[in-house]
Amino acid sequence: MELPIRLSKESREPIYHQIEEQIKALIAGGQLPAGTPLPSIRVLSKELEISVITTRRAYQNLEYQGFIRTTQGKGTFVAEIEASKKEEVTVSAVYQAIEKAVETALRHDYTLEQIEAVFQEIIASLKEKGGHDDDGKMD
Amino acid sequence: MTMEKWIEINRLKKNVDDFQLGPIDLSFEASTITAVVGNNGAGKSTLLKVLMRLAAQNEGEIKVFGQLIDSEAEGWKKRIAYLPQTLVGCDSFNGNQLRELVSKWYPTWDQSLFEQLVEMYQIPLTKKYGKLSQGVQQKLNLALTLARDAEILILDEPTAHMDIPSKQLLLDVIVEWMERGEKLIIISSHQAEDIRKLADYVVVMKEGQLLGKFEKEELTSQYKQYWMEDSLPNEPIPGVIERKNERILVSKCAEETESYLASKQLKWLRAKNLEIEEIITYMLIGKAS
Amino acid sequence: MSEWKQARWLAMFEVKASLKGIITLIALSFGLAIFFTEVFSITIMEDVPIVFDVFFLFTFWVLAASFRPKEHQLKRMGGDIWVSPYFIMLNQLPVKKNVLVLSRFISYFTISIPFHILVLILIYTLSSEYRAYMPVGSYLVFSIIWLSFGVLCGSMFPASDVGEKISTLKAIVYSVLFYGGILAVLIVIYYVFNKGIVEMTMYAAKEWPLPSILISILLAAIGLLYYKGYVYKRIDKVDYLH
Repeated sequence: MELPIRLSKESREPIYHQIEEQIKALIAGGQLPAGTPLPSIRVLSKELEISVITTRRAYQNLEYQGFIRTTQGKGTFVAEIEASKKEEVTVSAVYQAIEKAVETALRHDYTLEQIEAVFQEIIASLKEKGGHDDDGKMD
Repeated sequence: MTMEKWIEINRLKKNVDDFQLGPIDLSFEASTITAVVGNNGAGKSTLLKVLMRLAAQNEGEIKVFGQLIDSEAEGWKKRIAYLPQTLVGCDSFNGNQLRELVSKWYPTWDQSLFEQLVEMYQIPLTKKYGKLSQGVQQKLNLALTLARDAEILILDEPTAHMDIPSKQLLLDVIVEWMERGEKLIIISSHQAEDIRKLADYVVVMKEGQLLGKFEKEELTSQYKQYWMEDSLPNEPIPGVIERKNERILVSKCAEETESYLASKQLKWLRAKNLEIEEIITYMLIGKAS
Repeated sequence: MSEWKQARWLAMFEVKASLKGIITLIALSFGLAIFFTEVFSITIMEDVPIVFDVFFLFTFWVLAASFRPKEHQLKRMGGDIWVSPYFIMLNQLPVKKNVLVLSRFISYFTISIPFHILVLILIYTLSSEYRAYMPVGSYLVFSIIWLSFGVLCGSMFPASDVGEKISTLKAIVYSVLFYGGILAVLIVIYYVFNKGIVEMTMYAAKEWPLPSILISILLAAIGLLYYKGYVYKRIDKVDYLH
């Protein structure tokens, strides 16, 4: 199956790590339930236009962390993972997204106080609209 | 996953009239796809032909599966399927006859794969090779080469005359073929898409010399373009290979450049990894196209 | 499978693909037989032996080769390399060198020898003059001499498939020298012995049948072995880069 993975050419994050994080997020978010077959390393490499060396590294890390398992001759599948682990991924993804936003602001010479103000402002406007958007995606 | 060296080239040199290939040291490992790129006349085809022992080298040695290749024993040749840029000498044969002629020599010949490719590309097997269009000839060659199911596949510009859908289909076919077992592919190509979608490694050649063999991401992570916040000072910057104007620069070594910029408190608004074809262009002509 | 069997398989594959050339040669052999018996009678042969000899040599030397499929014939493949394109293709396949070399000769002789035999049979059948001049036994010896000649000189064609590096100018000079040389030899022989070579072989067949057979077969074998060795060495020297 084709995975909705998007690699960023501008990110400083290594490619294998981007793949790793996005697959984790898909698993934690329930889009890839346990037992779902994942594309082979070669097929995913072609889709993402990267070398198998990079894809293999991502898969190896995911396997090591228990998110996926490989059965000899059958392929790679999403592993059964505990709810707490899913939670962990979600929390870390949220933290990372916010950290990234803060970094962007810092690069544009915002002070921490200014950033905090922006953050409060956004939260306030969301509250005014009445709750948050459930379908909001994290990138 | 083994990374066994299936092909080893040591200190290879070949002179053809006033052209000199090499010296080349290069190896190819199992389960990898390597794209050989370079300008026209860089010696890509010559290298592949010497590798197939269609011309003898002047110096150096080539080992395939650990054995020095020679013209007496043909055992190693059965384990390589080679697709030349143009197949000569078969204009008067039709597809069926060529299938008979080629399949005879490969114990691994896979008739069902051949039929599948013929069906997919709608190749007429009863028409003489010489009467087929260049694109169809190329498809027939590919079917005749892939169906040998040898461990090593060498493709010399396999898609040069093909239409867009046929090229796309071939990418999938090659990926599937790669998964039939432990395989190795060397593909010489001018098509950026072949390199992006298939290659794990890129071998870059220029005027008979080997510029290097690189893992694809090793290149794409190092070649970057930066849009700077302010105009840059006029001094040399480590890693920078081109300044497009006083605020845009291109580096072939992101780490060096970034640590230098950081030490000088120079900030960039945006940084972008270059596409593989842009990187190859820099390597071959030293500047952007 | 033995090397011989593989070589025969490859040769037969080519023979099957050469049907057009074979049919042309069969038709030609009738034409030639009529030509040698009706147009030229033995009496005429005595008057203009060189012209007769040239046609006879041509028939037993180059004719079969010129009807081989186009891909087998030498072509200039980039630079100064003249090589048979079909040979280039075969060389890319994992065919044992010995099989490759043997098959070249088998496929050529499978066509040339029956063609030569047919011409010889037709000549003898059509011409009472030949029958009167030579009894069956002598004609048989005469045939062996010319079939051996066909092997000795014909070997150069399958041997040349392997390729040669030669400039166009040199190629022209060599072919002029080659054909000029043949003509010169024919003329010299005629003035020295006052006989054409075809007539001399008829004479030899009648007078010294056994030595004629032995010498012809020996020469054919030597020629064949020489050319086989030549191909064997050339394969490793020629660059098949086109």
